Amino acid sequence: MKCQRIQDLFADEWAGTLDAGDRAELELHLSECASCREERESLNRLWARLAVIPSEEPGSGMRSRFHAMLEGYQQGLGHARILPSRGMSFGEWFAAWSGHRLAFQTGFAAMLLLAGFFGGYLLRASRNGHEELANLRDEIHEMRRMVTISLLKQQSASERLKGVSWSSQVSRPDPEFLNTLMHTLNYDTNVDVRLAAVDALARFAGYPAVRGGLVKSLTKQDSPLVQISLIDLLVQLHERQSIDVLRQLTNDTTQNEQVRQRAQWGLQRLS
Amino acid sequence: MEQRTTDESSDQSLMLAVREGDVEKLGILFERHHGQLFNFLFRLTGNRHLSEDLVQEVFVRLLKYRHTYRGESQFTTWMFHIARNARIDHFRRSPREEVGMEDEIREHVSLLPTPGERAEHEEETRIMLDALARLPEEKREVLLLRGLQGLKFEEIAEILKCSVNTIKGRAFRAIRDLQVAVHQLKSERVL
Repeated sequence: MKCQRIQDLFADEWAGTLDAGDRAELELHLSECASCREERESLNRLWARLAVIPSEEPGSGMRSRFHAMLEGYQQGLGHARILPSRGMSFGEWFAAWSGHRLAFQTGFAAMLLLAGFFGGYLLRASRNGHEELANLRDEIHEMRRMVTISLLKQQSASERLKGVSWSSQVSRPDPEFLNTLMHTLNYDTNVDVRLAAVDALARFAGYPAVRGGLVKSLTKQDSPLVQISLIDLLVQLHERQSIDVLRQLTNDTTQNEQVRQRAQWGLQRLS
Repeated sequence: MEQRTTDESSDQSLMLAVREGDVEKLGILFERHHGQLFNFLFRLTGNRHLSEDLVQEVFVRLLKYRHTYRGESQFTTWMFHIARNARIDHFRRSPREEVGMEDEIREHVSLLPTPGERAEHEEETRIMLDALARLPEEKREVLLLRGLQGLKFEEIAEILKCSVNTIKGRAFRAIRDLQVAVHQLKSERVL
């Protein structure tokens, strides 16, 4: 019982919150109890070993991805339009935003569309009509973008499929949008959604990050359907960065035979 | 300790500048912290590519929610809190990735050179990583934040949004469980 009480003090000692009385009690007990002394040494050694676990270096592409994102943001592409209200904690605001954003955005998008038509009609006679109309178009575009991202994060596969479909209405994707779509391609649990994401990303193949992401995705996929679809797209894009990955697939005997044949075909087309 | 305080206040002033619109400053924060963030996420998930994606996601969120930064707490506390949310959101969306934990870490460690006197240290590290992988995530998280990142219990409590006493109790149970797992692994390797 005494040993249990003393060992409970170890956490206070690590936290630096041991008061003088408890410290004296701890030291006295440790001077008499070899078992507790050994236990404390052993646990302290473990903490020390945790601190010296060697660091891993992240991939070199991470820095360029970050700077691409920052650049995109600075150009105004990633400007977030939903702001928290004053006095609201981050957690409260984020939870509220996450929970209700789909209904809010869908309703708001519909409202903005109506407002856009009505506004357009009224603004025809206005001197500043063109500028205001452009602002409204931007707002609608932003809403479409947000609804797409929101749908892609839903639990239901059919909702996510709708999200991929919505992505076709976004003409100026920002890094967050592309990341979400790429994430869907890489990690969605549903093959149909991933296949649709391949087609959706094909529209944005003009972005170097997307092309690199498609190549990288080929190494992550486990569905032959998605693999073949990606190979076809990369060949169609004449993406020579994919040659190494195609070669690996061709030589990998654990891969599906049709995937290997398609990779071989792709290699011939790109070499 | 003095040095750390100075660094942190500097982080805070950079983030406050980002909040005020000088988003370029986020680049300095990225250079300072992306490595430790990556290591935390990599040790937690065992997946290199996913951890890189999550680091990117964390910095997107830092930028997107910069208006919510108040500068009252350490920047790293806020950053790890956002990292934790990003990881939770990710696994909520893609539960299939939770399997296969630590395979990549083990594979990576096995590629390290193992000549002479370094072999024993590397074996210890390998056992430690394997033992960590056997712990439930909530315990692994506390060990990584305290042991690997060197955060105080108060900071961990703020990141995980619970009391310091809860964290102290969890840390004690976690390190005890790690000790048991290390012993088990050592005896398994002897047999």
